[in-house]
Amino acid sequence: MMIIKSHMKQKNKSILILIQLFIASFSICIGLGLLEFNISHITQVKSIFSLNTLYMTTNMDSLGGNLSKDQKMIIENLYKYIKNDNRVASIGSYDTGYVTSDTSDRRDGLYKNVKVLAIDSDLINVINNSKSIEAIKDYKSNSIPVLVGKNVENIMPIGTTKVIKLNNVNKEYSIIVKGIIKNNTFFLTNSFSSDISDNIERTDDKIIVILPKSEPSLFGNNLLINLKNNFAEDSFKTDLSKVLNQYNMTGSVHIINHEVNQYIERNKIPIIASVGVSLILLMLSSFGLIGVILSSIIRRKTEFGIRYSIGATPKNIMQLIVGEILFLFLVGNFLGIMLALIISLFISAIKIGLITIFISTLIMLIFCVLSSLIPAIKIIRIEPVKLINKGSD
Amino acid sequence: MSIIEIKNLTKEYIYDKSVTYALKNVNISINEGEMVAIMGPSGAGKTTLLNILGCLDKQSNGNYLLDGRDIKDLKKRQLAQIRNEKFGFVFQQFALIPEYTVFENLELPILYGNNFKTINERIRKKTRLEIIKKGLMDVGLSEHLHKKPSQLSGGQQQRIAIVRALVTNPSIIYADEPTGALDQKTGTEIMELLKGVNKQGKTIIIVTHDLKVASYCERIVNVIDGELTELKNK
Repeated sequence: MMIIKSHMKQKNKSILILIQLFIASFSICIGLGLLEFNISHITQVKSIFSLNTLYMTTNMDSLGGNLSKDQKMIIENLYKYIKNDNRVASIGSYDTGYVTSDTSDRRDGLYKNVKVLAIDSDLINVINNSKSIEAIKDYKSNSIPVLVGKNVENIMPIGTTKVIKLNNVNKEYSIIVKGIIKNNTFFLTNSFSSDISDNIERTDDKIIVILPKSEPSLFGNNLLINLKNNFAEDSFKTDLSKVLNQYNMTGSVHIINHEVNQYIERNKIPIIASVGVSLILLMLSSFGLIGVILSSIIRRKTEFGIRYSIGATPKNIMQLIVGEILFLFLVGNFLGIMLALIISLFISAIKIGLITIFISTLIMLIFCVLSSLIPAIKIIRIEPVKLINKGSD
Repeated sequence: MSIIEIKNLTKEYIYDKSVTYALKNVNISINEGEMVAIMGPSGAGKTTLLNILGCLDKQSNGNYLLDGRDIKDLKKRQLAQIRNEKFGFVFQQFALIPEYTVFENLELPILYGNNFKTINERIRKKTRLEIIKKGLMDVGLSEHLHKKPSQLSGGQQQRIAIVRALVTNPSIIYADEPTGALDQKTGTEIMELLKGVNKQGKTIIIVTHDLKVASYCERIVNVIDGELTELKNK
């Protein structure tokens, strides 16, 4: 109570400190949010693939499911050949959730903006999240084209129309099934370079994917290749390109490790720049904050002396100084995080997760405790008489 | 009965390796209920003595016995408790917290006093308000409960400061030039007020260089160049 009262009495100074704390919290949150987004993305990729994994797409991909017998044979033989290579630990096929598109949004045959919707077990309600709402809102027409999981193929075969609704929005949407996808398919939208996604989404039996408006879907048979640990990915990649030539196929081979490195390389400068700006902002507001705290404490020396004379203990004085700052820290930090969270809704490259919130709060807390504790300790070491008589010194 | 006993008390300041004595071998004994004036020219050491007596400062040498207990070895928290429970201070410039209302200024010593009490002994808000209202009524300032110090005259502020010094019911009141910032008429009123407080049994120790103020006291001691001499003792 005494702390809140004290703030009320020194409104202007408190508001000034609050603003500094707000800016500092916001800056550090944004900086860490950028880092968290990139780190969590890389962690996510690493949790799915080992870094020495190669992935291969071929010109057969564009044919999707419409492969001739001969073409299927060629692919089978190619896969067998690769599997029997003594450098290969294991192989597996994967479907890229391809959607052909003639729009300029396309990149190397991959449509970038495939949206994934989670649907509840009744296949009626869209499990609400911002992406889902955004995805639905993209469609102005009454019928939203979707892909459905293979296990619901019997209930919702291609051509089925169905009404779905958002959980908390009383609005219904009509969907039409345009294709079937295998369960446990990794959706690799917004690729690292060409094919691997920034936002890897995993299907399960409750997932429906919205297709871009009025466009048919296609799936490619692509290959994931795990090498044994002691073999270099680069030389295998070169050999694999030669093999593709032998089979009269064209395609591209990528190494996850390279893609991760390229991703880091590509994002390094923007991240460093953004984090740098955040740190500069943090530093400026921190200097300002320390200045305001110190000047406030120095100006209040006489007050502390008066408080001593009427029975305040050194602990009371310390609690008052540190408590005032911590109270403002709670408010300023909360507001800073909230603003950062709001901004992260509009900038997908910022992820304000629990880690960011925890670390930024911890940094700010340590900073606030130190910046108030150090002058508080200095104050309580001074004899009360010096505070009363030399308050304005 | 002696409430304060000072034996061979010295206060020295060391500047640039040279020692300056603010107080030299001071000996004084003050009984409960006495009203004592400490007089002397500026810089003589009278305020230093008052600060040491009020546990706001520490002596360099010698002993200060309060109720027979040497305060030298007490911890800061114990000194704070003494300042809160046994002492009340009245300063020349009133020393009220300008941002606080009269009520809040007067409530503060009681709140700090709660630090030294068990949960059951603590003085609750309602009782605090009663104590403060009574204190204000005694000095005729009941209607100023929610005013800020800046809205009051100097005399009124000093009376508030006296109420603040009394709200924890201490046994000793230290007043450092209590009339120094007031006109003569208001100064007289303040001294009458302090005299009244003394009549209620409180020990009052006043630092002053004003003979008129000192005349209210039954005992006057003089401090010159850090040395204390007794001038008057009824």
